[in-house]
Amino acid sequence: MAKPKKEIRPLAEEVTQTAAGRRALEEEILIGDVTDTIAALLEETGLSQRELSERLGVTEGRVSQILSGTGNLRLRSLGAIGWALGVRFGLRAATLADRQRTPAASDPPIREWAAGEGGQKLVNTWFMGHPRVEVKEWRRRKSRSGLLVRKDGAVEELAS
Amino acid sequence: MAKLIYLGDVGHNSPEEGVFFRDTRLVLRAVPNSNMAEWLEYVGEKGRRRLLARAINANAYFEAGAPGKLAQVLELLDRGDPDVWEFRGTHKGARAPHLRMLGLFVGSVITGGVFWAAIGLKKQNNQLRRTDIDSARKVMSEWRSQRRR
Repeated sequence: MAKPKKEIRPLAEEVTQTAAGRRALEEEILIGDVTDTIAALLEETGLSQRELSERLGVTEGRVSQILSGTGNLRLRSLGAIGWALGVRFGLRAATLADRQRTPAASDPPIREWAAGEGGQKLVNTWFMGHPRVEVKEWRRRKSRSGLLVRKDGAVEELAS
Repeated sequence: MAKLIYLGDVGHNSPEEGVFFRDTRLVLRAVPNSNMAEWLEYVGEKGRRRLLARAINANAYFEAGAPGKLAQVLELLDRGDPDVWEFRGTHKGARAPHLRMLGLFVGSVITGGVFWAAIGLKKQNNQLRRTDIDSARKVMSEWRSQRRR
């Protein structure tokens, strides 16, 4: 008689059942994203780990450690890698669709402008849809955001 | 590759059977005659968490249109009948154990699709052997022949 097949459960069902598991997952996702980005950039530029280490003035072992995702990569080091590769890294935050087992489970969703790319979308929708709103008026009403948005869509930081 | 797909009959009893990850662009699903259920148990909770993180990464790369980053996770490994694709459960430079799944990807590397996992590997060494690829191809060929009957 054939052995009954073991059932496959969705990975998320088990892995994210505890707050600790959920936290570790978010860490893994970010580490994966950062290391994939650097590895993809190296492939795109045709640069070897050795050449990158020379540009950074660190050992090849250190670069290998960074790409392994095991060493703690400081933000300063990430900025330096960007400098060495001629790119600028950005940070984008997106509200999790499911925030169960996170301390933010009952928090309101973050506003789009705070998330990064969504900000321009919000600005375009809000501001471009109101052509009569003068820049000064915008400035007065939205100065708490710290941004000045011109009619052509350009965004400037307001002087404090 | 597409010749393997018979719509509506993939050897599972329900549309969700064998699915262990589903998001907007990517689905991970076990080939019906594979030992993926046992392998997923074997890799432990940490391994399953890593696989889930990589799947979420890959889905995000599809959404963002980042083929360079996607290639770090999902890649065509060996052309043949059928093609063998690799899903890296741990990234290229990661320390052992290295988790990999070999199988078939049905879809597009631009828009997304279904990765049918035929075999899973947990290795201390990051090198794949020819026998690993052959094993995956054998599972997929058996799957195909079962569905033709």
